Amino acid sequence: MTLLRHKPAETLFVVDAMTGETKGTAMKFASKTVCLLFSCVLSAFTLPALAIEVAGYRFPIEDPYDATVLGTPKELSANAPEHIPSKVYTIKSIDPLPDLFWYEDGLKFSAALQDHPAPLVFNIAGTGAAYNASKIITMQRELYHAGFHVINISSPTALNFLLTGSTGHMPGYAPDDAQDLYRAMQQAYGMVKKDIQVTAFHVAGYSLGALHAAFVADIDQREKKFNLQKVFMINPPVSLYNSAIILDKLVNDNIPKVNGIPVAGRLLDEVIDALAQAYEPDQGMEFDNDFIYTAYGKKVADGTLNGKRTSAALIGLSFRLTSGAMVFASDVMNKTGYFIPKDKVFAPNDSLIPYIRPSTLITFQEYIDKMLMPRLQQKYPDKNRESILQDASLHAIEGFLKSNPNIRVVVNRDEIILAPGELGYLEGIMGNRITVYPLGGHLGNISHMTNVANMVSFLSGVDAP
Amino acid sequence: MIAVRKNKYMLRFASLLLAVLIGGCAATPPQQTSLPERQFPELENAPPDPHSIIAIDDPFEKFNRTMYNFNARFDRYVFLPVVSGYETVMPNFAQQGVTNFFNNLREVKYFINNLAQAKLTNTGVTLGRFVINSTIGIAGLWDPATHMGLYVRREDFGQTLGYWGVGSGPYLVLPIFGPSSVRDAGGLAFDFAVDNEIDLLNVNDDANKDGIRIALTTLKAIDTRKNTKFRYYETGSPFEYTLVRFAYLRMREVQVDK
Repeated sequence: MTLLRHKPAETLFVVDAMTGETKGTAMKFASKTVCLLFSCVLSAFTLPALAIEVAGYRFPIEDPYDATVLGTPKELSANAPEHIPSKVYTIKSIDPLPDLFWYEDGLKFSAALQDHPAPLVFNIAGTGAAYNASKIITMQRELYHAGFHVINISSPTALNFLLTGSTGHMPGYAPDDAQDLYRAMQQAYGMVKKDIQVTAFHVAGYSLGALHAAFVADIDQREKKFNLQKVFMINPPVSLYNSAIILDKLVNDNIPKVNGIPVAGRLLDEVIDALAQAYEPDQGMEFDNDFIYTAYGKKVADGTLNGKRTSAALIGLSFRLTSGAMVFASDVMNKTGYFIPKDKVFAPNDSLIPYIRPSTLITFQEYIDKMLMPRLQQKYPDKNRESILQDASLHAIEGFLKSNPNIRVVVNRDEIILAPGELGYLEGIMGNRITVYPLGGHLGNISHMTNVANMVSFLSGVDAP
Repeated sequence: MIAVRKNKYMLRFASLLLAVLIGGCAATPPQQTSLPERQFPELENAPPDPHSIIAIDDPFEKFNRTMYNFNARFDRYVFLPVVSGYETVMPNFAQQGVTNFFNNLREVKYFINNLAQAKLTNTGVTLGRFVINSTIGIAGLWDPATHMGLYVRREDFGQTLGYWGVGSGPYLVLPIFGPSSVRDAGGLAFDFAVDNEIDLLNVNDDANKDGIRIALTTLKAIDTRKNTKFRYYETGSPFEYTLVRFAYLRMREVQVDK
């Protein structure tokens, strides 16, 4: 548990903001109780005979919440050289933006391109994460060194994408978000194609990005703009709605409340104090990401931090800050009048402080129910709430997932964003095309050398069925 | 003494500047007519918890936000393009040499501030680092001291003030330098004045002293920016200003305590 060096989940992002690693995004999970309940539910499942269990898999963190926050220790991580010739490009914003968002000038993506003919992989980031989040950077680096052209696309739920690359500026409905992604992928490829020769196109994604990858591939089957060959899905949700409920609950269950209102500052103070205890600048330590994750691991191991509760709280907080950003930006862009007055016009230097607490009290579930759902019911009058939620889940493309030999899903036995029954559902529809690792929580093992080797060999066609 | 007086003038000038800018920026907010659908009655009688990330003394918020956005623009259109050009033109080993060279000059500041906090071991280590790196390290272009286990003991005058019980004061975003506080801005000015006064490189006696000073300051700024990973508006949050503010002040608290 000690020398944990790898940058894990895009959690702890406030601290990140200071060290310059800026990902303020996040993922998933549940309280101690829910977790306990959960592992009971999970162990009650008998495994379909065909799913691939990974024998001899080494991962040192047994608690799925700690695993999610801490990630894979350096000695078990894939370790392609840090440097790749990755460049950032900007696609013109679909709509003009209000002055408040003066700093966004278009949809950003990054591309790392080979100087010889090669297959191209589109990577799609998870909830709230951009093209330069640490996990998608790892994917890009490893795939580039394995010989692929790699284009990293932000999640439609990331602020930059919501503002500049989204037609409705209200993400959360996978079929529509996949259309936005598909357009962005074509535009991105259009900007780099004169420089490269592509032998085949693939798509990969993690978390919500994995669900999006499947929806994008489904669209491409009909539209054939890329003729996507392979789809690699890392720790997908089955339904964003179900996973959001689980993540929303983490805040409620684990973040200390004052007058009934969760106060993240106390939690952060607790974590920062624990980290500060471990900080010894005289020993040559820098207060950087590597230090933070090493120290966090130590403080969980020695009991200063209650690992399960603190990790769950940080995951919940990180997710809530992501959804708060989305809720705020959607309300401003659409003038919904949901919690910001309809006629409010922000100047670039206006204080946004009055909106911070409200935006973080609105759960993701509330966002979907109260902001997104009315919009969707207006747009698709023949659909009801249930059919909309169904259409936004993997159930909607079950036929495509079942029949296609070129789709691969990887997931962890101790995944924390799946509702009861959903892991079993994935195993059922994917058969021998799903790999289940015993540990890792949500994405804690995404940079594990075994996981990366699995991704590379699948996309390279070495183990294609 | 001269340095202290200079510092006082700078502070007075800074507060004057602040007053003018804040006064100039104040504008009446437009009246809102429609009430949003979602109300938060639970927040009405609940002042922010003192631990909350929004409960921070920031009377200059309007000025700070203006400056934050100015810095973000300066970064995008001037600073980062220049840094990028520098990285293209300069070989890596030369860039590292420049970084080491300026770090070595900073040892003077670390020495003074360790001494001012009565951290005698650290003062000795800092002196040792300076001597080793200036000689074996050839005028500070290399950093053999770190390889000998003599790690840098960074202290600045803001930390010294904090060490002796001076609170950070209100948050303050400085042009180019970025996040700071009233205390730390004063500290920065003091350290700068001392550096100027000591004049380690003997610039003051040179006929072209202004030209040399501008060149050195520019190179130092480029080098510092190159080594600072922070990028404006990359947190993915519309509330970045508030998050950075919290992170900066909390970070400084940790540094003062250590």
